[in-house]
Formats: sequence, C-alpha cells, structure tokens
Amino acid sequence: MKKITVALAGNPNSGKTTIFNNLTGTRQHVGNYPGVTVEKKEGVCRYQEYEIKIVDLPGTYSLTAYSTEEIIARNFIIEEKPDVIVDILDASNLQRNLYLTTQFMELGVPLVLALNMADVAKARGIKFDLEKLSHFFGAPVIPTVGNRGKGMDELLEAIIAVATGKFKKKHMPINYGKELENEINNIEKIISEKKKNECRKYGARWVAIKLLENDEEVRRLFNSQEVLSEVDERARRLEKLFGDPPEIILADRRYGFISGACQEAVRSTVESRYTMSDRIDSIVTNRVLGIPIFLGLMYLVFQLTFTLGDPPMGWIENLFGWLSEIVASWWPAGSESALKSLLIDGIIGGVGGVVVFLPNILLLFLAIAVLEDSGYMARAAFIMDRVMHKIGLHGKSFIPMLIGFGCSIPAIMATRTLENEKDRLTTILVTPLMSCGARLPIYALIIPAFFPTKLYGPMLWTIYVVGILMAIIMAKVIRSTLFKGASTPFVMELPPYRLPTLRGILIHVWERSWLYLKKAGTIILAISIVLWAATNYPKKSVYEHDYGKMLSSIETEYLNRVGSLGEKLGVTLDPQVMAAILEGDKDALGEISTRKNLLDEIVRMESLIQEAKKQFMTTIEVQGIEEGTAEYRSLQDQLANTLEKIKGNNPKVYDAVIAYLEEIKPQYEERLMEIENQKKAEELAYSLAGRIGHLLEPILRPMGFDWRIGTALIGAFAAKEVFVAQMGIVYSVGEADEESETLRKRLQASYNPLIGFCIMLFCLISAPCMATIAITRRETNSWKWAMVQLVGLTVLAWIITASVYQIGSILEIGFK
Amino acid sequence: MKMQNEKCQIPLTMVGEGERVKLCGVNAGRCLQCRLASMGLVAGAEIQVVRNSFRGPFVVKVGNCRLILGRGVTHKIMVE
Repeated sequence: MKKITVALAGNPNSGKTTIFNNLTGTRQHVGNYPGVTVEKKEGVCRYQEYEIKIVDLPGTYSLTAYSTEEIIARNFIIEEKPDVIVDILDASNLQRNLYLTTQFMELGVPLVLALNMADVAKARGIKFDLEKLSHFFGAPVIPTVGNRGKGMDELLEAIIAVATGKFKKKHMPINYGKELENEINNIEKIISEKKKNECRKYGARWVAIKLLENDEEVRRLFNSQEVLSEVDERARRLEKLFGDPPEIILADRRYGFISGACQEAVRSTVESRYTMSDRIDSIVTNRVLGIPIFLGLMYLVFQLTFTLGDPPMGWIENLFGWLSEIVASWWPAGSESALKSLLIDGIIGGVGGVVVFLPNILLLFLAIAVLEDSGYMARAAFIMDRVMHKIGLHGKSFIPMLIGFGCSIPAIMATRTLENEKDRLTTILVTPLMSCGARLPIYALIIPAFFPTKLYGPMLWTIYVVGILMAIIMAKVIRSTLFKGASTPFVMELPPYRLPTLRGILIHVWERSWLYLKKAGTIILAISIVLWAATNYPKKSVYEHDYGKMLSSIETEYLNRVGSLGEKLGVTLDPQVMAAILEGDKDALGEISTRKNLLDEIVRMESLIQEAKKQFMTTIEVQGIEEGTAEYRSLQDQLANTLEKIKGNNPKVYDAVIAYLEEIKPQYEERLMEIENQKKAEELAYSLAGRIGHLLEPILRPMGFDWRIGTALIGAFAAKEVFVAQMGIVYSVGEADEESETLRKRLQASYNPLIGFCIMLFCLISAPCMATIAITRRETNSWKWAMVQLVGLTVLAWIITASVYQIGSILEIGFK
Repeated sequence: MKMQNEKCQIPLTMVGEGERVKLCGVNAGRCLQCRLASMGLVAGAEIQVVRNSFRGPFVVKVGNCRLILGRGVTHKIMVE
C-alpha cells in the first residue's frame, strides 16, 4: 500500500466538507489541533493501490496570520508537508476563491484544483477553459459536483498524478510588478544569508513576501533585528511610492492576476439577478419578521428534540434498568455486596444517567446540522448579532445559549461555530447559567414546599430570568476584563440556500454522538465511582439505634397479628407458616395436611382479590383515567361489585384476607421501610460525603444551609437531579423524587422560604454537573478553563447566595 | 488609506439598493483591510448593493458572492 497525505483546503462554504465525506465516508476521525480548539478532521481513502490520508483543513479565505484557522492551515502545510493540497473552489464564485489559490502558489506546494459546484456554474451559463486555468495556476483542474459525488474518481487520479510527479506543469510565480519584485528579491537575498535553514523550510520567496506583508507569525520566526529593520525600511519605501502599505498592493496584484486569468479562461454569459435565495432572505432577515422567525425555528428545534427524544430516552432508561437487574441477579437475593453496589449504583447508575441524554443530543445536533448546512445559520447569526453585540458577545453565541436551556452539554459543543476564541470561551463559561433541564426537578421540589400555589409560576420564571441576567452580566464582565478585545467586525459570507445532503448530516450526527459517548463517558465513569465511594464509605458498624432490635420487634408484632387472624378463622398453624402462606409461598402450603380445604380457600380468595385490584390499577394506568372523573368512579364501582361477589362466597375468610391485605401487610412493610431509611440516613451521615457535608458547614451557614443540604450538593455534582434523591436519603425518606410529599413536609419543617429560594439560587449559579465540566475540558482542550468554570461559578454562587440570604435575613423576608 | 480621487468620498452605507459602485478603499486597520481583501473587497472591486434597509442587514454582492456586513464595517468602505 503506497501512502499519500492530502490536505483539503478552500473557502468556507465551498463544499469542502461534502467532498471530504465523499472521499472518506465513515472512515473519519475528529479531534482538536494541539493547543487550540479548532477541529481537526482526518480520514482515510483507499484508491487503487494507494492509501490516502486526507486532512480537512479549516475553511479560510486566505493564509494571513490574522485568525487561528489560517495559522493552523498554514502551519499544517508547512510543518506536515502533505504530498498534495487540494484546493476546493466554488465555481460560481471563482475569482474570490482563487485568492486562496494564489497563496498556495506562493508557498510553492503541489496543488490540485477542484472546481466544485460545477453544475451550479453551468446552470448560470458560465463556461470554463480547463486547460487554460490549469496553465495559469499550475495545477490540474477537475470539475466536481460534491453533493452528487461526481468527479471524485477524477480528483483522486489527479491527486495521484501530482503526488507521484506525473503531472508536469510548473506555474510561474505571480509577478507583482517591477518595484515589488525588486524589493522581494532584495529581501530574499538578505534572509538567505542570515537564516538559511528556515529559508529552506519555508521557501525564501514566500518568507520575503510575508515579511513585506507584515505577517506577525513570520516576523516572530525571523526575529533578527537586522532583517526586520531592513524589511521595514523597504516597506516604508513602497508605501511612500504607492500610497498604500505593501500588503494592500500585493492583494491588489493578486486579484489582478486572477482577473487576467479569468478573462482568458472563463466565459460568463448570463447575468444573475434576484435569485430565490434573495427572495427567501428578504423575509428571513426582515427587520420585523427576522427575530420571530428565528425564535419560532428555535422553539421548533427544542420541541423536536425533547418530544422526539423522550421515547428513546425511556428505552435507554429501561435498558439500564434491565442491566441493573441482570447484574443484581448474579448475587443471591437480598445480599449486600460492595462490588454489587459499585456496579449497580455507582457504574450503571452514574453512566446510565449520562447516556440517557444521548437521544436528545443527537436530535439537537441533527437539527443544528440541517440549519447550518442549509445556510440558515449564517442569517440567524446576523439577526441576533445586534442584540448580542450590546452584551459584548457575538451573534453566533446566541444559539449555544439557547440550547443551554435544555442541556449545557450540546450547548457547549455548539460553540464550535464561533471563530473568535475569546467569544467562544466566554460563551462556554457563561452557558451553564442558562438553567438547564436537569435543575428543573430541584425547582419542582422546592417551590411547592415553600411557596403558595399562586407563586409557583412566577417563582420559576424568576429563577430562569435570574439565570439569564447573570449570564449577560458575567459575559459583559468577562469580556471587559479577562478577555478584553474587540469583537470581530461583522463580515460574513451569505451562502446561497442549499439542500443539505443526507449523507453529510448522518456522518455529522454519527461523529458527535460517538464523541459524546466516548469522552464524556470515560470521565463520568471515573467520577461516578468516586462519588459512589464517597457516599457509601466509610461504613458504620455501630449504630445509634439498635436496628436489629427494632426490626425484630416489628417482626414479632407482624407474626402476632397474623397468628390472631388465623385463630379467628380456626386455623392452628404456626404464625410463621401462616405468614408464609399469605405471602404466597406455595411450598409452605404444600407441606400442610390439616385443614387443607380452608387454607386453599384462603389462598384462592387472596389471589382473586389481588387480581381484581390489579385489573383496576392497570385499566386506570393504561387509559390514563384521572381521579374524580365519572369514568374513575364507574371503575371504582365495578371493583366494589367484583369484591362483593368474592365476599359472597365466604364472608368470614374474605374479611380476614382483606384485613391482611389492606392493613397488616402494608403497615408491616411501611415500618420496615422506615427503619431501613433511618439506618440509611445514619450511614450517609457517617460516610465521606456526609462528613464533608459537616465539614462544609461553616461555608454553608452564611447561605443558611446545613450539612444535609451540603451532602445533597455534593451528590448534585454528579448530576443535578441527584440533589433531590440525596435530599430524600438525608431526610430518611428513602427513594425520593420531586413529587414526594413527605420530603416537602420535612423540608418545610426544617427550613424557610428564604432558604428555599437560596437553595434554588445556589443550584442555578453554581458549577454545572461534571458531565458539563468534562465537555468544557474537551472543547477547550485544557483543564484550566474547565476549572475556571467550576470554581468561578461556584464561588460566584456562594457570594450571591450568601448575600441574598444575609440581606434577606436582616430584612426578615420569607421568615415564617 | 490614501484617497486618490475626489469621487471616492462616499461611504458604502450611503449607497442605495440595487446600485453598483466601485470600491476605492477601506478606512480601517490592516487586519480588517486584509480580511476584506481576502473576501473579495479590494480596490477596484465591483460591488452591487442588495439590501440597505435602515437598521436592517447590509448585504452586498461582489462577483457572485453575497456578503453581510455590519454597519461599522460598511461605514469604513469608501466607494465611487
């Protein structure tokens, strides 16, 4: 297998990605360029006897040193020295696209030109003389239609021809005019002497041109005072001569060259007029309609994501539930095992909690991909730009922040569309303040616990608004302090509206989901285990209450009641056995010989009653019938009738069985549960997490929190929803969810509305779940920013919550 | 950037929809100038104004390519 490395370059919107997809299919790999957040896409293509590694460079308009992407593209070409560079040109926009080509020519790299969207050009009546173009630019020119996969084979043939040296044409360096050429030559001479090595690497002429253009990067590399002062001197001379700095003249001359070449090689027959794209735009970017249309589309995207996403989420939840059961079955029922707990609660629970979001994220990315590929995003960014500008953010920041209302994770991933590093980092840091979906259970628990019904809506709205305001304020602050710097002036190409390719979208979605699973999953797995350990260890061996004694006294009482029940029926069995029979143990029944008929009767009646009740419950659930409705009442009547009939058979037995089913058994189970929960609460207090909760009390006090809330907050670090579950454990309510009445009552007893509000405030502002931190780390390629986000937000949360609490207490707001 | 012509005094913002003008120069720092140049906005480029609604987006056509420009940028572009 012969190996070739190819770099794909070209203007944004020229169809580069489509061609990349065509050539590499699913054999792609996405990462980050070291040290930067710009995506690096690589893929492999096999053609004839060649293995071709294809790197998709960021789309750029030129190779100056003004943006990260350009520098990356440039450095890749210089450092990695790919065998061939394929410059993808938008045929209907040729002149502008060729500007980048001239820069490649200056670098002197092996080039292949792909004249993409050849069909659109043809439809517009533009004709190309491929031979002449090839002659001017010194490279094979291959017409392609990316989104129909045409021309790929020819492209590959050309790549191989250039890589193996079969393609002979060598282009002339572009002549920039006598004066400029003069100076370029002079500079070339100087640097060849002084910095021979670097010259060999970069090419002396290219360096000379770049120096004359005042290119920052190249200036840094050729740092000798002599060289630089020479260059500056000559630049000044040229500026005096032409009235413009050299880089402008150079740009001018390049376009002159392009223009000349196109005059000879391109025939344009039809004038393009007001196209369909323009028509759509006049509506979409309309001053009045623009924002509503945008908000409408975003709402649609949201709805789609969360409604379409719900069923698959349910399946995944079930999958993990089933998985837990299977794992649990490896141990004998009821046994306690550290490994078992680790696997089920720690790993399956933790990882499952994150994977369950996959459908949502996939759908969101699908929607964004469609919007982006169709060209709408460019318009949207512009529409929101004015508003965002006042906040100090870029128009493109709006979309990630909007997504953040659902989940911060896809929101942060969506910031990739921001080119300006500062804007991007600011947006990433601030997005978690847009209250995400996982915090909703917390609000749903606390608001009804502390506020009257008529304030439910307003309180929730308040929290969300506080989040938005915080985001705006923090964005402004960050932008004016840490990331001072002008926002990029708004110049953006409006690509014509296009129908996105299905293939492109699918590849896009596949990519994102795989990444989500892999990266977020590994970190979350690790942290889940740590948190599991912290909430379960150290284990208490000596308890405050003698649970054993309490349990056995409850047992005894249960058996007594069962025994007396049996006596009433005239059965003289050991209460243990009696209990076993009533609980449905068939073996126990089989071993009895006395009074067999009576016992059979009891068991049969029991199952009839249970069957009738089950019917009732299932019907209600399946048909979704609500209490208090006529249907409900009629079903209740039906149930009552059925039970009457059963009773008719043997009233005495019926009464006894009903007493068991409706009183004795439930009360027994409830008591058991209470003890379990109390025990668990004690264990939690003893565990590492509980102790940390205690330790944190001094910090928690100023906010009005106690150690219990502290423990719950530690759990919430894993995932915000865990807060509610942990509060349940801490208040020994057992498995709690936001509907839990008892938990609400306990909260009401322990805290007051001010504290309730502070809890919500803290949860809103403080660090997001660890999955989000993990994604921040991945997207920014450094732990630094992830930590800044974590620590910064938490500290901010503390300051604000403490202030609110203190001021509130002084003003005595919210006290009962 | 040195204005060579009396005619080159009009900022792009003042050009009406549908009109065609020629770019003279850009009153801005090198960074912006280069950026604009690489997108096709060089001296001598023919610009057709597609949309210029008060406070709405400013859209121009250069060659066969549509560009949206922020107001700040548009102010700095001088045409004749």
